[in-house]
Amino acid sequence: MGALLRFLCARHAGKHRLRTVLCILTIALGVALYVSMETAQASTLHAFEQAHKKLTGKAEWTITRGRGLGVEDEVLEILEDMSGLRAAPVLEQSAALPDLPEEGRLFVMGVDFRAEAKLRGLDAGTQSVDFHPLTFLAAPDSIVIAAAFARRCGLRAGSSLRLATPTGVRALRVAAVLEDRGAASLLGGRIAFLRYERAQEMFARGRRLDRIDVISTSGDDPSLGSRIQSQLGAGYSVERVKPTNKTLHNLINNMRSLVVLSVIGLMVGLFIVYLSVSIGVVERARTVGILRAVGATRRQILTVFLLEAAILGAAGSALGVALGYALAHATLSAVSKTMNLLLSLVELEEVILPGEAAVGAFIAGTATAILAGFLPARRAATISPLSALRPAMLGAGSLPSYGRAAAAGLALFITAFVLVVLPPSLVPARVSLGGTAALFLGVALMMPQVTILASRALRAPLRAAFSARGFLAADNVLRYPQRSSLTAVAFGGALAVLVTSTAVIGALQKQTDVWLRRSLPFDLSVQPAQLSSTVYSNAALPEALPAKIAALPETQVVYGVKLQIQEWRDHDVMLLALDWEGYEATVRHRGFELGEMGVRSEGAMGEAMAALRRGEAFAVSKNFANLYGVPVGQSLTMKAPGGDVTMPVVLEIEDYSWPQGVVFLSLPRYRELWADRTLTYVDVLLRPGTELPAGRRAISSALGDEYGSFLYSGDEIREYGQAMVDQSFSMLHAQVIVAMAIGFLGIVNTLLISVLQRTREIGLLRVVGMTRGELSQTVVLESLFVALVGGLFGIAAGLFAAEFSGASHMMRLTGHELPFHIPWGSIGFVGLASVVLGLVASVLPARRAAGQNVLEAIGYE
Amino acid sequence: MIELRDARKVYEQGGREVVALDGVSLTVGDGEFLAVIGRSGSGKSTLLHLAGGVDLPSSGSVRVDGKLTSERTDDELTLLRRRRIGFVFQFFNLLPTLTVLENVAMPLLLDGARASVAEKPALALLERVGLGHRAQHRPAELSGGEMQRTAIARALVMRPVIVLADEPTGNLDSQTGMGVLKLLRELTSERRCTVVMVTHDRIAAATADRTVELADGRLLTNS
Repeated sequence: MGALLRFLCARHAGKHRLRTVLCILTIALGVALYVSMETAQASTLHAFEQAHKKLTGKAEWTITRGRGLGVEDEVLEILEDMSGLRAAPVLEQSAALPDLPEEGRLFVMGVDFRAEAKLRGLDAGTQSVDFHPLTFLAAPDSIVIAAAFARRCGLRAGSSLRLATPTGVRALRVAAVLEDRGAASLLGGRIAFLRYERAQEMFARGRRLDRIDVISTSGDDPSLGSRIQSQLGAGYSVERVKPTNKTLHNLINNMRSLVVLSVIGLMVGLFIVYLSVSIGVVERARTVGILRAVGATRRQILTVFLLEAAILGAAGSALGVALGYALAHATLSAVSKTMNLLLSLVELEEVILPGEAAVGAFIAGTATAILAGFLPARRAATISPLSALRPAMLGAGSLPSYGRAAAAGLALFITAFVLVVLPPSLVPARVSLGGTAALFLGVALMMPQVTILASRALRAPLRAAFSARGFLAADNVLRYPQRSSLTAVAFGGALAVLVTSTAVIGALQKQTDVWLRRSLPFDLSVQPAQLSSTVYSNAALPEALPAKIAALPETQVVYGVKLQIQEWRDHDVMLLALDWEGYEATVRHRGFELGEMGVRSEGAMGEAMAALRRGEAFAVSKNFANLYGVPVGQSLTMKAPGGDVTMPVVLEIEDYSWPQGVVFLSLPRYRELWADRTLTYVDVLLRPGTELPAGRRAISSALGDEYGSFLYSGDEIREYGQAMVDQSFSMLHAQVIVAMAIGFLGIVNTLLISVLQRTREIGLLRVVGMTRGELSQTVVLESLFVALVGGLFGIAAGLFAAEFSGASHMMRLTGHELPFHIPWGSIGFVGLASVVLGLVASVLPARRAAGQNVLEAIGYE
Repeated sequence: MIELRDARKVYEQGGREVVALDGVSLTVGDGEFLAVIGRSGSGKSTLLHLAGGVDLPSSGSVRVDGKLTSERTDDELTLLRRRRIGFVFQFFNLLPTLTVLENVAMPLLLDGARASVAEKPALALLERVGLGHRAQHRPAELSGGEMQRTAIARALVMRPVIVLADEPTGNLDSQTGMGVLKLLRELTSERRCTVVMVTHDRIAAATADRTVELADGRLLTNS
């Protein structure tokens, strides 16, 4: 078999290097799409797990009351009475550094140092640090910082460090500097520890903690969790420490939907390998005939061609794994930025290529190639030894028919269409995505017959416009409709991905733009963190801030906003508490009514607003209503620290703040129920006549550096919001470019094969008087024909997929209803790209055709 | 019309030089029907390729239609073939996707003629070779003799001054072959074409005005 492989395949591959490279590259790109996606996911998870591990240390159990609710510190007393455990309270906050603005924010953990030594292993190296509580009791303003941070800021034990907190700027004394290990190595060292009681007071958190970590002191004790649970009662959640985060999983699920791109990429690869092996069989028919004549069995021929496909697939897959890793590396910073917008503490620094994904992708790529090679290999095995004796002649010229394939394609298309358009509640997301890939396959099956009809219809106009060159080009397409149409489908598929993604992104951008303009009516907003840090950080502003700003003569309306991520029915949703009077006054000042702002109520808007203002009702974002089926009129139960709160939903608001939905309520009611008086933003409407810079100056000087706050104009926030939307699609953009590269390679490959298959015909045309230029034009026209059919298909399929698949997928993932948006820019680009790529793809094949030796071409030795 | 002076053609094959044509001097006059005979590998086809401007001599000269082929550019040679020379091949070499009529009209279409204009002389020629009723058929639907008659019609559609035929009867039975040969002879005589026909069939060669024989790339007889 080795000799046969060497004789029949290796020499052939060497002779047709370009085609071999194209095959390998196409498989490689399909595999790379998958690997890059898996790598991005794995890297994200790894980064999160690492951060989580450092942050939780050796903790085995964690006690919460659900995210966003906190735990009263009295629970510590109950736990202290229990045996076999050590409880470690945790309070997490972030604070600005007035003296070190270049450092951004410091993540502050309020802890109990007695428990910490065993739990997070805070290590002060050779420094003699006394973590005894009495030491910290004696010096309550002590803080422990990380070595990296200390080095950058020139701090050491004994230095003073000022933090801006909701209760004002606090000067703390650095008690110790921790080695860059464990939790102290997080966030580049921008993490610090102080006594939790002090943190509660500084950050106005009352007597609440975020969670209590628990470690067993009597070895592995599986019953510990249930013991704690029975001691604390049903209102508490006692769970094994595990690195899970619902927002992260939501993010990763969104990334997973890109798998459809790699499936399409591999389908294109499958078809290119099929074409290449097919033409390889035709080219070597004489050799195979001779081998059969001298004793090669059908099985040997079949095996050798399958092996050839497998080698191409394996080479492409290996390259694809490496390319995928490189692609993930290249898009890492974009993914990292997107992730950091939604998750704090996670720094994506390391690219992790998951072994099972690499192996899986390698197997999938190789299997695809073997599958693609099977039919041509079987054809090769049926070559008669007589073919060695037949003279080379031009093809018989009978045109194939693809009626049955078209009928099967139509049936598949209709089935897939139903799967895609059925409501999300009836069809799981994966089935719907599979339906999208099946739609593509259905079209691929229909296209050969469509191509036959199209090229027949276009033959006369092409002949009229380009004479012989025109109809020869149409005939070339017509003669091999499968090859031409699948190339068009492959190229069009790649362009469709572009059209779909830009249509969906465009619709989302348009929606968010309108939303940002309508929903952020203020002139200025005071924020506790920079916009570039985590958008929804748990940083807070003091309760007194609105009154302080409202006292300025430059301001007309000032209102506070509090938001926090809250667990609800196993989802992380956003709770947004608002001073509705202030908000409405600002909206009215802008000349809007709430009804114009995507706000919908069941009855009278005024009554609904009144109920909301009084704190007797919730409002929900439209995506919340869509995702969880909680429309206006239903009642909604939220967990508050004091117990469950059930109120009717009176308004549905179009809002894009959070992909898992937002629940709105009035700020006074939130304060009462959640016992939290801090704010996240303070929005300001300036008095008429006050210029924005003047208003900004007035507020800045009034606040000074007391709160470490940042001041942004409405426009700055809107621009940042739009940039965030763009940013979150950067990975998709990179994948679309790769998909387009696959489509482009498909055209080059098809044209090269087209030229090779017509070698003798091209020779004949040259003999009877076709110049090299005219011959090149025929190839260019054929290329343009395929590219333009692909482009038209891409636009139609892209818009179709955006309207049905993209919109329904977006609805499943985020609950956002996207309007149909025609991305004219992309359509123009696709039209132009079809022409340009069609022309570029034809350069090499056209040169090859024109440069062919006439005598060799017509078969003379 | 065609003049070879000490024409030599050397190919490289497997690192060795193969002399296909070795110092052949030959003149084919206007309207002459010349048969070139010889065994396989004698250099017959090479001579035809040099005469048709498909290939250039390694040394010596080939003058076609008054001008040396080596002094013409590739495009000039192509246009020479398109407008002044007609080719007939052993294996017909018709384009399988085109109809019989389109195959015949092809050289005119390549020369920029509109389809409606090109089809008139093509159809007339097809009528002349007895295939008017097959104009809309595809080559695959024709017999060998019909395919070769189509090829002859295509070779003559541009009203060439030279017709080069490479084993035109080589793929046909003897009766059909003679019919095709008779047709070729009639049509080229009517049009006063110069014909060079390569064959190894001495009966076919006997129909020519003159016969030359090649062996090992050299001209043996000139009768």
